[in-house]
Amino acid sequence: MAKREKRIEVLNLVKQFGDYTAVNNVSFKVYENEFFSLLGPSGCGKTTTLRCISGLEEPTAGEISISGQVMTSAEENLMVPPERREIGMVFQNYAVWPHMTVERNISYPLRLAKKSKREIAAKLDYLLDLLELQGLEKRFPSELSGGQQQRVALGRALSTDPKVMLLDEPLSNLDAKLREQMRFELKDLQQKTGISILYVTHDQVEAMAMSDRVAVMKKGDIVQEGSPHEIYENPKDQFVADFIGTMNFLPCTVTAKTDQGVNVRLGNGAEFGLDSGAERGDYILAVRPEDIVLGSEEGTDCEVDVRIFLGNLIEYRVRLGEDYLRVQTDASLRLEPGDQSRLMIKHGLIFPK
Amino acid sequence: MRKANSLILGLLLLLVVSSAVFAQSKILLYTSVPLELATTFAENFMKENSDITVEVFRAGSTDGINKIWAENEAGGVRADVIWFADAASYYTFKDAGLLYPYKSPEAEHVPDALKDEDGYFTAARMINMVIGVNRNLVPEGMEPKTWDDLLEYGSRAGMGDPLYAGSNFAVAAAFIERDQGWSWFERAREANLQVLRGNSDVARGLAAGEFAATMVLDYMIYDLQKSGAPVDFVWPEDGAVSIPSPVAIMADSKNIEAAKAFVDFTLSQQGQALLVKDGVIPVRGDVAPPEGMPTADQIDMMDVPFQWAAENTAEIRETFEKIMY
Amino acid sequence: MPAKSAVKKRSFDIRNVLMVFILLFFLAIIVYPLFLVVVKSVSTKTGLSLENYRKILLSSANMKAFWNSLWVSSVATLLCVTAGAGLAMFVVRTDIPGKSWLKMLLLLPYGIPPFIGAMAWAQLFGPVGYVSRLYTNLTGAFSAPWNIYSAAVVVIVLAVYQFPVVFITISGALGKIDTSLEEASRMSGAGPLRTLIDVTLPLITPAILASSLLAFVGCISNFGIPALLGFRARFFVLTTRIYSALAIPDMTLATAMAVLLAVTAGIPLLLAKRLERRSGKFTVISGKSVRPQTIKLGIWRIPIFAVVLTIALFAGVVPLLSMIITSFLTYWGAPLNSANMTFDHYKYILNLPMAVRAFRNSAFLATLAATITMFIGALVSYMSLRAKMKGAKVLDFMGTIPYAVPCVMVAIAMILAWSKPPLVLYGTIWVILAAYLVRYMPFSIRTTNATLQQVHFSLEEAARVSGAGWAQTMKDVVLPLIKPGLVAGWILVFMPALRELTISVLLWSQGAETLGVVIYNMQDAGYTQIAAALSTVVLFVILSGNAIVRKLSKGEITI
Repeated sequence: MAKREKRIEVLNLVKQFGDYTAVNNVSFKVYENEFFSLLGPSGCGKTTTLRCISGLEEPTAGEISISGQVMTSAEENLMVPPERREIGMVFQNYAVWPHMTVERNISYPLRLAKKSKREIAAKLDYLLDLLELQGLEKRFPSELSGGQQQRVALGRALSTDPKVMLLDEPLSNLDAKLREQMRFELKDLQQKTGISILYVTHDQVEAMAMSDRVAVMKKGDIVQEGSPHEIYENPKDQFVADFIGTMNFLPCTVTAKTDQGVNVRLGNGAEFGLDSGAERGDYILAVRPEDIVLGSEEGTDCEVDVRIFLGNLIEYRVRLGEDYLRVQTDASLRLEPGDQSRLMIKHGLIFPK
Repeated sequence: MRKANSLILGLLLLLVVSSAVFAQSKILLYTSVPLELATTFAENFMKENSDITVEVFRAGSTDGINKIWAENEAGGVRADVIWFADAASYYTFKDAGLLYPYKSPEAEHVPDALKDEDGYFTAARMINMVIGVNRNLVPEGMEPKTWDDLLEYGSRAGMGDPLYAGSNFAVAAAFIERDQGWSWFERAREANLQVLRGNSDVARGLAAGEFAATMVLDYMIYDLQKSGAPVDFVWPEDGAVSIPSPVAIMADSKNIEAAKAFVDFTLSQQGQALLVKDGVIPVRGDVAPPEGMPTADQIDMMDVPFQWAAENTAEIRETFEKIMY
Repeated sequence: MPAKSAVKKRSFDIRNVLMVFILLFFLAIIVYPLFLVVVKSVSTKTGLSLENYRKILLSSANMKAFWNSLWVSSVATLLCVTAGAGLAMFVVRTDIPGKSWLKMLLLLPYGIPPFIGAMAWAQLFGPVGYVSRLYTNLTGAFSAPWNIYSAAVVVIVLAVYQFPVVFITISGALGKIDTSLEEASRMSGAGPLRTLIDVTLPLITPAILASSLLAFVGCISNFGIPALLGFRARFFVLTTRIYSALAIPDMTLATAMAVLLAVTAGIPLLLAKRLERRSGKFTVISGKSVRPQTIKLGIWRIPIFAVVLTIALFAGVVPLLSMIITSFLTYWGAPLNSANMTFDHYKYILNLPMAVRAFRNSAFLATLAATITMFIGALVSYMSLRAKMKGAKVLDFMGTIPYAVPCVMVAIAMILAWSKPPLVLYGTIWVILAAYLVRYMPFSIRTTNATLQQVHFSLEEAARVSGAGWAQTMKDVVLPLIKPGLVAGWILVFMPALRELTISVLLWSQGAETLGVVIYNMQDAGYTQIAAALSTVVLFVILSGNAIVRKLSKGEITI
């Protein structure tokens, strides 16, 4: 891969509110034409990080550069005000101004930049078209739906062609259908404009679907950074494993090391081989629902507890001794609650207890 | 405290006696007499007349007279007896038929100049417009002797507004009568004499030294002297303006007899003696005035054409406005 | 999106009964008396005519007073709204030190009766006031270079006394702004100043308009300040003219001027209503709870603090101190030394039955006025905003009329309406209560409207769906939710009612004295020091009341 330009660089960022440390020594980079997500539960410091980058919050320590220029440096006491950072930003509640029409909301940054009337009109046309807001120019935000308001906020953030855009949970106030649609639109938009997007969300599905890279945050730290695929396949610890996708956790014991990996024994006594380098001892086994084969010839005995149709898939909850597991199979396997069956674990991860 | 105690005692006594023997009657007095004095008056009266209760409503003359007009407009004056310092208004009240005529036997001791010939009202108090001086600014022997001298103090001299204060309205009428016109006021305007709202504002300004000399009411200076203010008064050589403060019974009163008793009391020797204690000159020749004050008949009084003033109120007010504002 | 209020039509609805009841109440207590004033103003000896108005318009003195009322109120409003908005901005949105103290100091003028405040200013800055004397002693000048008895000072003092209302309203609005709206502007490339102009100001425009109106009406109907300070400058306004018309007596002329005054105050009221409707679509419910963002003042922090503190001291503390000093003086304007100080005035008022009675009466009147107006206000707001009942808008309008009606006119209306049989209230404490209800109804309706708008429909609907009837829902859900707002509104009626003067001075009677009346009478009779002592006691009571309420509400409610 050719060397890409760094658009955002965050170095050892710390932000404290009184005694409380919201962001604790966070570093990451966002490259050109990249969709980068900060993912984590509420209170993990992701929004604070974003606000530090935007310049709305002054960090306690660390350095932030945008497009190669240092914008914030606690050490050098440097703080470029937000309006001179040339970033677009979309807020969780959109923050479209209730006293301005759609048109004025979107063109506001252009007017501040003292663009000519023709330029503004052309840009407005382009954005209204891109965001499918034609015909709503003269409306006030209170006369718009949530999705429309959200697109106005996007339009406003995009109007000055920023190289970097920050989005703070912009889809969380939308209904499911619209949210899914907007995911595609956002991704599409990013690809069309080549802009770098830093996206903050607590919704792992959203992060997985759109991001080129994801950083998972927990209590002010970045726990793991990588492509969605890497993180999904190889979560670094139990927190990430739990936060990303669906995961079953079972107590287990590594009984022996083998050529292929290790032998693992579950609570009900069932033993099987797994690809791992763990030493002997007690662990937690993490298994994704799709990595379990239900209704196999071999394997350990289990009992079907609940069945849920998902259309193309069926999800079962099965009892394995004392433990319950979620299992996904294709729609062809039909078991009833109470049926006895067998299951095999194809793939799993071992985390320390 | 003693006053309050005796009041309570008196009231209790009253209650016991009256419930046993009489039907209690009640009169309402509207007055501009200072509250403390008015209360003392009422208390003493009730001691004498245990079957009558007096309620006192004390307000400035203008406010009180406003209230009477407002009540009259709205269906009936509530007061049984009124006692204000605005003599001219009594003529207006009389013409409007608001007063009840009563010639009190005690009124015989009051000079004719101080009572209405038809008995609609009788002065129970006399207040005198004199020249007040601030002793820090006007040393002994240098004080203004006449109303014209007062004008020499220019903007350090002041007076109350005839549009607001009944006593000053009387002064205006007296000066017009004397000068056969507005010449004094025209000179006052030229000299930039300050016109304040009420006489108490004037007295306050005099005590504080804002004014060196003012046209002001005698009892206010007496009061201020008592509280230690460096003020004094001069009886002008060309005559003080004495304003009778009449009592009158309202025609709407439902307790005419009780009201009559109250009027008698105010004019009696006993009632007048109460006033003297507060620095007020009595209306009766047979009651000694406060120390250092003249008796009513010793005062050089200017003629005040009250009747004429009452009939020409609007014109006087308008002219005053035109000259002074 | 809020759903339509889910009210099922029933043949009998308790709310309709309540509405009819309130309608009758408003008709009797507001519409009928005010109507009588209007009738009086067009009555002449020969019948109904506009003669009285012609008289006003032809009299140059009256027209001058009218013009004076207009410009003085406009300039004072401009002054106090500018100052109020600016100071609210600094106190609410910046990192200025000592915020809660500054806030309290800035609200102090609210606790001093205006005419006492005017006296306090005169004592300091009058021709021989303490400050003026200090100035002449220091500079050797013959007199101070200012003249307190001037139109300019009337404007300034009016502005100072209307300031707290403006400050409270605008700081409230500022505190409620969703800060992300401002942040969005910064991200769009606007600096702090541009953001202030383009985003913050438009968002608080409704609050600015509302408080301007309140201030304007307050200024134009004020009597005490122009009477005390304007008189010496021979500067008259409509209220002082009305007062002298009552003394002539010319009731019809007085009523005509009062109607003129009401119309003058009513026009901006209607304008503001229209603007408010237009700005109604500016309201957007925000999704996230608001985290107030403070602007860092940097090196300006201390200089700005000094300026704000100076203003607060000048407007509130200095006249207050002057009032307290006066209350100990043997006579007004006495040189300041221990020989001229005395406790006598306090002893006097504590032993004065009238003062004790006035305390009781005022507390009684203020309590009832606040409770009744808030209760009816809450019902009216609920019916017009929530139940969207037909006719409730009419109630809302009726209840808001007195907003534009000067106090003098309210008092005259009460005299005209309640002194004739069958119902004679005049001469009793009840007529003052009736007047207070008229006077304070608009304030409570406004407060309850604002409070109710913050409670989401769905909460109420959830109660209805859970099986609660309308009354039950009110009791269990709506009332508890709007309680803090109601309590705050209650206090905002209670406090001014406690020291009300303009109305009660025309309506009081023996036994029904209010604090304002007693203070005014003392002042009028020349006992300025006693008036000051009583005012000091009243202020002390108000401040301790404030402290108690603050403590009980854990700092959420202040006066």
